[in-house]
Amino acid sequence: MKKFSLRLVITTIILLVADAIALFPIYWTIITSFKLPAEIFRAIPTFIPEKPTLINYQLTMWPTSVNWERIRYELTSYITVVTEEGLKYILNSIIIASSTTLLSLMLGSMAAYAISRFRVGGRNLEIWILSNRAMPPIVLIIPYFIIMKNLRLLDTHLALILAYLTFNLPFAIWLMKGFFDEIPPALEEAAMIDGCSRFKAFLKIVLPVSKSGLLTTAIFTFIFSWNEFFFALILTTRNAVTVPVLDSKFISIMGSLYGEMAAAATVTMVPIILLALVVQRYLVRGLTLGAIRG
Amino acid sequence: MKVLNGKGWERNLKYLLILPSVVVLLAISIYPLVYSLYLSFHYWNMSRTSSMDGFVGLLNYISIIYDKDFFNALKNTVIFTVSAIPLEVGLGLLLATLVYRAPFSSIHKVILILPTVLPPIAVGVMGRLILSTEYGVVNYFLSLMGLPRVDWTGEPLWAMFSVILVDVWEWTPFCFLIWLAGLMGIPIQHYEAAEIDGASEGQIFRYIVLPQLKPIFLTILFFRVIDSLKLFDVVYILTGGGPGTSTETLSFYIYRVAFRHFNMGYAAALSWILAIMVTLTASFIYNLTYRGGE
Repeated sequence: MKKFSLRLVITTIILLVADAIALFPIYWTIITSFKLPAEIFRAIPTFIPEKPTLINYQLTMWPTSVNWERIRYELTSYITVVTEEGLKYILNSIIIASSTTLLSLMLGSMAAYAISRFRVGGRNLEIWILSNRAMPPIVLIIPYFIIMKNLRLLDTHLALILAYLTFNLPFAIWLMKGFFDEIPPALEEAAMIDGCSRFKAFLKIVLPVSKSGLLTTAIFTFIFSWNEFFFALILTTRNAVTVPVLDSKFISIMGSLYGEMAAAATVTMVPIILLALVVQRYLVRGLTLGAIRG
Repeated sequence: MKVLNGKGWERNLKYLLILPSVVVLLAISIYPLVYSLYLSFHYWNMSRTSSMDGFVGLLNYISIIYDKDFFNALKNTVIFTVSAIPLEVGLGLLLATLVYRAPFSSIHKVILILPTVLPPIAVGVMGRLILSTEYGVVNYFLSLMGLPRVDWTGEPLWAMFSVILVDVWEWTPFCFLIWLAGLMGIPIQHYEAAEIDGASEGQIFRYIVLPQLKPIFLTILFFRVIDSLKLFDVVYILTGGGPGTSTETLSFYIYRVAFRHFNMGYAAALSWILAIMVTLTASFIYNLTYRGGE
């Protein structure tokens, strides 16, 4: 019994340290976003902001709200102040991520149903999905840049929506196929005997039953699209910029604008953190299923 | 009559369901890949001429043999991959075995899942904030312990170490999660049977748990190797490939050739070499998985 409780103590200590290591950088980034430069650039750092400020959010999200008279007094250490219309970028991210998610779910669930019930594709499908996963983004980014430039689609939402479909659609097909496989075909067959067409059975019976599968798929395609940086960096310049690209704009030759960078990073990650807390169950399931099956 | 019509239409249902996905993927994925392959046999400096220059055959591919920067990036990518992955896989297994029996395991799971789902670009920003040489909190902790400050991103060896460190923080949770799913999948009877036979805990782990986790290990390896060979986001934010080219990965180098020097044909050729390397490595690990399963 003694030996057992000693082990429990050690286990708990190690896990608490691991939790702290996982959480501290997130905490540090969030509190840095509420600090003034004078506090950020202090030799002995503060672990709770002394004079919390929203100035970093104003500068990165909503530059027209900045009171420039005040800012000169508060931000004396700056040579230049970069301002970005982050609010617009958040909207871009939401539009792009939800569009790809919707398209992936619609097209993906149809294809997945055909594959699950009629065995279209067979084993080649698995190989194809996996090679899709292995393909480095840069292989697609180079032709995408040229094609989108020729089509005059650079810096549009559509360019990124299409680009994100390249990895989200195969992923959605793969995940949904797994969920459909778990539903007994007898369920639709019963409905079809009652005079329902197969397509109707798919819409009215199979899809509602696999609600949690659809949700898991939606969560993942949304997170993948929200987090994506490389395509967005190359395919956007001003109008269709997404939030992750905003994060990268505060690194200059003159040094990093830590406050703004932290504010932008906080805006990028907080929706994902909230999502992760709310839908934790689906996330764990999807991550393990997606990896083990994929 | 109606039923017959329904049947005729239903006969093609599987193709109708899968067709939209096939058409979309042909347009957004296959076509750009074919275009990129075509591009890799041409010379095109996009900053000088607006349309593709002449056909050069295999010249782009042959030039790679004499490209010092390519081999530097290859070396960096390999060093990064073989350093980061053992740490992630090992720490992940340690955490999984601890969480498996710990009280409050679901709380640890929620916390430890976060780094993996966060936007990689925000993770890079975090690294930059806490690893800053003058104002970083890690150096502050080091100085508290009487250790010298480290120039985390300013010196070649430390910069590579920083990239590895950030990647380990980001991806250990992923390995942990998959390990944990693997542990949960081992039937409890196996432990019980071994215990009755008088096996020690070390023996149970060595002879019961580890052999059953082999496919899980290969799954983790598969995904981590693929992602490591493609590394871009964190390098872009944390070190910019520097100092010099000491942390330049293959993806970053190809990005530089394509979007800073606009040498599109050569970049396309490089990207195909990267794709081939990733695919070969991935299929090697994939085949190991299947041989193990038989």
